[in-house]
Amino acid sequence: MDDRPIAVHLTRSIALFAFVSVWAATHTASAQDSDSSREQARVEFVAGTEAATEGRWADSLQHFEQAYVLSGVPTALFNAAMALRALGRQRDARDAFDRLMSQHPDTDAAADAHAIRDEVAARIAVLELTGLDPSGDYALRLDGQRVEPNITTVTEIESDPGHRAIVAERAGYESWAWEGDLSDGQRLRLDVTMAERVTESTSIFKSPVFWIITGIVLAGGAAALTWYLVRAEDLQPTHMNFLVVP
Amino acid sequence: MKLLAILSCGVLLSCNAGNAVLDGNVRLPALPSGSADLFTVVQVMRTTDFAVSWEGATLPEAQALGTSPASYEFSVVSENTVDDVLVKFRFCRDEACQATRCPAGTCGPEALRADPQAEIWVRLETPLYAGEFTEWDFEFPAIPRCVGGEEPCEEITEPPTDPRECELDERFRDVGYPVWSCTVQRCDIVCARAPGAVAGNCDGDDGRTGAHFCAP
Repeated sequence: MDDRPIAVHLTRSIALFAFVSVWAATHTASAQDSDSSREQARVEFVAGTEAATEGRWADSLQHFEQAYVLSGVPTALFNAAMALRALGRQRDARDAFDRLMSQHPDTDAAADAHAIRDEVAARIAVLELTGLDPSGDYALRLDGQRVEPNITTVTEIESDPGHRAIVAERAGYESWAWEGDLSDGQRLRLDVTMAERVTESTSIFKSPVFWIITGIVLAGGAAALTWYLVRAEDLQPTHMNFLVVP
Repeated sequence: MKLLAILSCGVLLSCNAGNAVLDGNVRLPALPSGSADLFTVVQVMRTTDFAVSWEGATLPEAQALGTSPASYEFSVVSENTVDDVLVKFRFCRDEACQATRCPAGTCGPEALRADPQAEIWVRLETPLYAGEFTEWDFEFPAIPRCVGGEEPCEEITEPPTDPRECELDERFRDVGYPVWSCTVQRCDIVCARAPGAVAGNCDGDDGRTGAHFCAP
């Protein structure tokens, strides 16, 4: 990982942040809460810088993000994007740079972001899924995270390089899955074939319990019918004055 | 399926026999002159001993002897077509055959049983055939009585020669009242499906031997 851009920029960022803080202070001196937020943002920014210097990119990302939330300073957002890049989260890094350039277009951070953003975007891999029914209702998960691309004849799903897994699910169909390695900027076409699920027959006629019960019922019915028929054929006494003897 | 077969077989085997009905038509005598009222109470049983009490064997209807002979009709229903049928005709003061007598003119706990006054015991020889109606017609011209009418009953009247099947039963001394016993041969039982033999209801030349017309 090339750390030089962020290292260079971090040095500048601290100075920039100090400048911005002074600028912000002159415009919002009356707001006690703003003073507190600015101080907290400065603390977060410094902590993020220290973490980045030490290679603790996950920690630095958290601090820069917090600093940006508290201050809105574009340098904090730039550094957060750089941390994302260092973590291999190319898609998030690109999105952060895009945000920086759209929300802070006339800043030095935005100017610095252009080249890095393109370099990051070029690393993003793309999975091209074919065979999906545009009218189908799919559940697609990339590394377990739900993704909701526009389903077309060739559905593109961006992915960070590395070992990835994607799963497609659709009601009434067997699920489809792919797992493999993606290199920087690779475009990989995958044909998604999902077999219609054959519902396991739960026919009651396959249940031995059903047949046992049916057998008993039939036997009972046969017995009752036979008894009835035989009884019906029994002779009845001619006289009311009668006795049944064993 | 095996269970079904077993059950069906069992049911069929148990029911194959069917039942049989014997219709009795007995001509009872008139009440003897000078006699107190008498009721005819009839019992039917398969026991081999007449000289014991037959509990639960009494036909529903008792019939009083009238001033002239009268018929008493009854039916016997059974699935037993193998054994003889015993019929006991009891002649009693009481309709339930429970009359008592009171020594020394009192009727307390010490009352003595008075009924029956007399009995006629009839053995019907295998009168039932599966799925067949049979008929038994009989006549009692008289009922047995103690000679002289005095107790203890040391001597009883002889049965009439017609019907020939009856005789004086010496067991009257044991039971304490007059008894005749009769035996009705199987060929004297009419097969309702095939009546009209010359002298009986069996397929022998004389109608009194061979297979019964109701026999399968």
